[in-house]
Amino acid sequence: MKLLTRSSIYFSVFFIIILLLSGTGLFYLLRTLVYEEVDEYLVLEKQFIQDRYEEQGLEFLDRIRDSQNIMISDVFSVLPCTTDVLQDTFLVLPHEDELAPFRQLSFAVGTDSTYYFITIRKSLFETEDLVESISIAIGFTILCSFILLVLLNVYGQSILWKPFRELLTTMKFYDFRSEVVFPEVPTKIDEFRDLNTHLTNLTGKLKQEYQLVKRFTEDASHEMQTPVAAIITNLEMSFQETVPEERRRNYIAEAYRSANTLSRLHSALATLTRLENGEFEDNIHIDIPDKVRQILKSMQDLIDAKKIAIETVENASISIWINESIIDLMLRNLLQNAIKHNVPNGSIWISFEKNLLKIENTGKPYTGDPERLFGRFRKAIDSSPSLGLGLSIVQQICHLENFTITYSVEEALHTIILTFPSMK
Amino acid sequence: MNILLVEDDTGLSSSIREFLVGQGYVCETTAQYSDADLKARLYQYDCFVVDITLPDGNGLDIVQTLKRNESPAGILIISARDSLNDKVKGLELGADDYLTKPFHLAELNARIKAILRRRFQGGFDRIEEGVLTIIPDTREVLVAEESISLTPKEFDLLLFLVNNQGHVLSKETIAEHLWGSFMDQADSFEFIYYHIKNIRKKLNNSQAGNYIQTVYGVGYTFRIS
Repeated sequence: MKLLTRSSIYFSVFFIIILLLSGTGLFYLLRTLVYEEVDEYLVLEKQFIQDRYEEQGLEFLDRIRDSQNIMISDVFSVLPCTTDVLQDTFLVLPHEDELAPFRQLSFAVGTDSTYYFITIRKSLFETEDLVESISIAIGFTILCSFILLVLLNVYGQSILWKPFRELLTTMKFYDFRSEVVFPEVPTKIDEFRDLNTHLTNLTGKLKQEYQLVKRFTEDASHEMQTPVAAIITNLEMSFQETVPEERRRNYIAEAYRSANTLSRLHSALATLTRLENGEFEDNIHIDIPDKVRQILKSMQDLIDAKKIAIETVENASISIWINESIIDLMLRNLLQNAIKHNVPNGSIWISFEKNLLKIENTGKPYTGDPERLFGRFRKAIDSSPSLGLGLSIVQQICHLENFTITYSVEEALHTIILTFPSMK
Repeated sequence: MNILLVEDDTGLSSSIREFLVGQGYVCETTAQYSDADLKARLYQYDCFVVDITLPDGNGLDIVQTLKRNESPAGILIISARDSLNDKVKGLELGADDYLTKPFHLAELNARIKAILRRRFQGGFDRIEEGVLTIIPDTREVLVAEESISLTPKEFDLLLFLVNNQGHVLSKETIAEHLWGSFMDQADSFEFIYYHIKNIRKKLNNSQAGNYIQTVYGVGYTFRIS
């Protein structure tokens, strides 16, 4: 059901109830007014009769006995009624065969066992008509204005809601996969303008997310399909009968290498997904300098092979509340990068400050934007055998744990600064 | 026939190169866009096999350059991107064919042969192997000028085998070539066996000899012994 229809129905129902109540109220108010008027007249009349009777006695009563609206009953020896009686009654009009409403006042006059019971009447016929006509006139006016109001309401609402309907139509046909920005619907109404702005922002974010996901799937498919292609083609070559045994082993080794790449890729992607899903809990206190030393020890072979000198400076102790495998994964990635992308006989400087870990290493100069390397499948040298996922994993962890990380390159010096949130 | 292979994965590119060399082509490889672009401008190749995602550029740009220079070379795109958009874009730019990774070498070979045949008609409209003559355009197979009738699938299978002469084709490769990659593999292997059996029988009846050899556990190969 349309908002307009529904609001019109509510409007009409309320209006009809109000109309009925106020109409009835008005009718009774008018009638009360009329009754008061008539009753006052009757009381005055009674006063008049009583006064005249006291002045003129029975003679006056005889004179008025034939009046149309006065009825004098027979003589009573006892007082027929102690108080005056006011009541409604219906009588047949003399010239019409119709009952007409009357208001009557009955009272007694007389003294000493001679009492007269007198009833005076006043026709309500004309006044009733008046009340009716007034009610009809007022009712009609109210009804007309009601219809007019409903029509105006319908018209006004349809103008007011027009931008909203336009927004709906725009939303219906909007495709966030297209390059087009969510269009602006012209309106002067704040709420609709807000809605429009929020929709534009929302679709903007959706568009961005969509592009990211699309890029990621394309990249991931490229990174996966290529090793698969290498496995298939190498194996295909290896079972050719004409291939000498030595070459055959080469083909198989190549396929094996590609299979390993694929496996590493899968586990890196799985780690990223697990991080995104927040599957790491069980936090404990970790002493960062300790952890770094421990990891360096496990990488001693790599360090020795490249003859890298490592220097650590501990200016402050850092202890953070985190899942052990997460911090292990992150530090391992960072240190591994510092070793892997180092030059032979290079150096690594590690310093621990308050809430801050700095890793500097010598390496090859990199001209691009270092922050770009945080992106998925981004490598310093695109043809390198690394997956390009290490730093994305690090960044995902930083994002998760509210760490900030910066990466800068100056000439051949690469610097990673990791800032931990201050512990309370 | 000269082929330039532009592919950044060394494992993949070396196996493709060795395969193509084994098939009698002269094959050069490069992993860089800049290098490929330079080579495309300097030298003449009969066919380009180009990967789209390259470390320093987009393979589609090479296609564009070749087309702008009105190169007569055939172009085959090999890419991991298998969205319809990429395919349409590649073919619109003027590539002759689009092969999605991963692929079988025999499939690559068949596509390259088809491209070269289309590009350089002369001498390619008839394939003559031993007493066999195959005319791909009319889908005819002749043994000593006498036509033998093969079903469409049998013809495709024979052509695929002949095109990859001396190369062992695995059952998977054959199944994918004939029925597409969505065919349930276990089923299609049976089909392959029956098709091979029929072809052998028909060739034997025409005294053409047994050119199709079974490689135990792997597949089949076509060889003029």
